[in-house]
Amino acid sequence: MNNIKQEMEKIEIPKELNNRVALGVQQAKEEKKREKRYPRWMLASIASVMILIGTGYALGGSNIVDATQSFISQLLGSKENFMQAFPNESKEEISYFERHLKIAKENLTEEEFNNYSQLIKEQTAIWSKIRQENREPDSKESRRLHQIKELQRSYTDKFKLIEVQQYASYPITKPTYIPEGYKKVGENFSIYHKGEEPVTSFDYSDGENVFWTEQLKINQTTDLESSFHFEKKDSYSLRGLKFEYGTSEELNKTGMKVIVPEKGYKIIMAADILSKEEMEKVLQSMIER
Amino acid sequence: MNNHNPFNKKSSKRDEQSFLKLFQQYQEDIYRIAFTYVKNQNDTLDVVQEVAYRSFKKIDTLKNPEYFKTWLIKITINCAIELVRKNKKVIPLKPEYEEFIGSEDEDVSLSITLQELLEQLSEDEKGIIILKFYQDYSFKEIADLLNIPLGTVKSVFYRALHKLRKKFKEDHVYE
Repeated sequence: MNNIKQEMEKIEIPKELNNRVALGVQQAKEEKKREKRYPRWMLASIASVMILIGTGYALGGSNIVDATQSFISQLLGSKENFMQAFPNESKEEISYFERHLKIAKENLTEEEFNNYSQLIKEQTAIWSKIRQENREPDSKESRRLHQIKELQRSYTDKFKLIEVQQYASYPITKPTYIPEGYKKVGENFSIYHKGEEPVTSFDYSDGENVFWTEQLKINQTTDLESSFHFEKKDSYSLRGLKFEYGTSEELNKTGMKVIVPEKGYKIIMAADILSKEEMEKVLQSMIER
Repeated sequence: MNNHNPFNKKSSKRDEQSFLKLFQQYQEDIYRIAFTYVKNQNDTLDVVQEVAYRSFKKIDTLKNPEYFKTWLIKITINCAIELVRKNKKVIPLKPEYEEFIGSEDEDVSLSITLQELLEQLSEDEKGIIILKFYQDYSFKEIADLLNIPLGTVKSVFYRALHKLRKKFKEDHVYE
């Protein structure tokens, strides 16, 4: 027999326990909400993300497969080597990867591209071994794969806007006017559904309050947009463009939307405490006319 | 779209409440397990908060709800060890495990104090002893939970017992 149970019972349970548990759950809940607004499927880190999520997303426009087939082959010896490591990739994803490599080569210096290529080779070799042995990555491999992903990101960051632009029919723009005290804290380029175009978002914070923008094709929609009841609030025209101003009880934020029909996009913006005028200024700074 | 609307207030509120209810059933066990690693109230509360955070965040990845408790314990041990290492700022080297050749008999006896449990055992020994005696897991379950081979679980377990008994004897000699 043993007395460990009795001994363990001697550890006193503090009164704050309930609160701390609730706090942990609350934190997670906030983050989850936020992440749903920003799916992690980032175009820019496709080489690694594609591998993690396997199939599920695919892009149209695979007309470049033949012309650039050589990129994967050049890098990895043959397309088969790639397929061995990533057997579940669809045709679209492979063509997407081809295009990704092409853009990488065009936009990185020779040295950078060589380093980046080296990382992809290593990543492919690790996955290839795992697939051959029909197993999951062990902890050492997981760690290295994670490291590789981080290192890859330092290169893909250099050309991701250029890459994303290739998949968008509208011109992707960033705010040039930022309210005082705010800094960019995040950016995200996501394709929510197969066949759609990327939604571009930028997050800003002054350390306490946040605002963020989402730019997307007119006929698409996002969770952010649908969480505001724009139409019910205020709809008006400013310099010939349709603006809508609204609030979201759920998010406890104010929102603004502008539609730019001649360029085929709209921008949604949500903010904690910015004034209507400040929001208008941010949105207007994003609109190329 | 509406079915999956993440801003659906009612459903997310409900999820949160049922999660909390479930979590509360185990929170004292979680607290006590974490305490054996970090050994003070403040750090233990930090660990529990982190466990609540991580588990609620990842609850969708738990495929079998019947393993909820085991899954929470796993997260608890990981968080606690992380904190201990962060505080120490050194990463202890993994001990070389001797191949287990001991008895298969699981009905072993042990009499120790909380103090001994906290002070005498290494982190890997502690986890196994607690899971075995406090949570009544089998060796096989412990191996799965801690992600280490069954033989290792047993050899570490018997090493820990040996250590505690030796300590026990020593104490008696000097009494």
